[in-house]
Amino acid sequence: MPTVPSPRAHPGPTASPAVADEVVDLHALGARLALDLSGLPVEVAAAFRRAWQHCLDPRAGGADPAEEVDAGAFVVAERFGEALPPGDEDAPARMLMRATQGITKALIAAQAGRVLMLHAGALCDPTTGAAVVFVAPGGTGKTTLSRTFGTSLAYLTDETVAVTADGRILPYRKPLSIRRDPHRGLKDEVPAAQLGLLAPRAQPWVAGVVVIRRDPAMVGVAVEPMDVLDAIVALAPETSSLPLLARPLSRLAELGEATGGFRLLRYAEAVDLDPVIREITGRAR
Amino acid sequence: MSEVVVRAVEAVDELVVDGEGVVLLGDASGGRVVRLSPLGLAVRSLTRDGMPLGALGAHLAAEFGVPEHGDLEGAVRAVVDDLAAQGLVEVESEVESEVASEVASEVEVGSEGGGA
Repeated sequence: MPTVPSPRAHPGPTASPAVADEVVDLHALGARLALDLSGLPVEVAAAFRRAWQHCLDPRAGGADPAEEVDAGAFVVAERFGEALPPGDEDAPARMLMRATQGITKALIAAQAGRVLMLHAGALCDPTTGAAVVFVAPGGTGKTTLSRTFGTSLAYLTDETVAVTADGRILPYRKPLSIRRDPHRGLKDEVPAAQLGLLAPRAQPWVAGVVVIRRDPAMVGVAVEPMDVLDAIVALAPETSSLPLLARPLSRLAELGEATGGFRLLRYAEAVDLDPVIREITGRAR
Repeated sequence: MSEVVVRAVEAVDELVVDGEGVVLLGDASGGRVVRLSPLGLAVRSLTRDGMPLGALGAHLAAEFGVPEHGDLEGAVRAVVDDLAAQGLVEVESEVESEVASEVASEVEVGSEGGGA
């Protein structure tokens, strides 16, 4: 991994603002990742900063800056720049897509063995922090749920939920990947605020965990309590670096026990989940 | 000829709830979780340090009874093969011999098709 100088090493009376802006620190999942934007076209660098605006605040990742895990650094243009051929108008969006994947990978690697990480989305009551965690494989409804309920509940992530040993969630308020055209693979990386999604005003904590399965044939929602061992078998493939965690199976079991048990939700449309999501995010700690 | 020995594969973690369990297999690069019945848990527990198939059968018969069809050895072998296919136990020959090697090699082939 190439190292990059900290932006704090550059500023001085003679430093140009453009240089100072070229490195950004992202704060997410309780980790800090330094990204050097130098070499990127100005408009692409601006689009990058806009997309990641919710991860620029030093406390956005849920950890005190002094306790943040160092996720390293990389030069975006070096890592993803080949996706920017001149004259290709889709190239910036493609590069941002790839950068999102790379950033997620780096953050997860930094937290491996430290926190329980679930491939899931999460929303919380903005004032109490009571969060519903919805576990599902990629491409099966997490972003849609985040968009559907994130205008009244706070958006925490649509990708990876990091849970500490005491049940806190370390937010990963990444841009949401919104498909530009249903017939093409291209997605736009859109910051939550642009979609009207709310931000948490309290420390988020896990109030409930559900496994979601979209089934277009369903009418309404079916809520099925899960046996803890069945739940662990279902959840394990949707975790990251589980074997590196201390007592990983007990951690999963304790998470279910502390939140009233895991439940499987079968549903056709995201709005069908409203009663379940409201019940969970209405809980008190 | 030597008797086949069954040995539990070391797991990253194991959790037992109400007599049933889950086992996390794998290493730092990844893992998978397999659910275990009381019988599967007993086989893994008894074979922690390796146990000949015959002795394993005797222990299981004492704990769970003899199968209705009476073929204890066949029943135990089927359970062991199933667990081996899922990567939960290994089957090895106690002493290398031509016959034992053939047996072990058959088991190994059978184990490759398994999954969680």
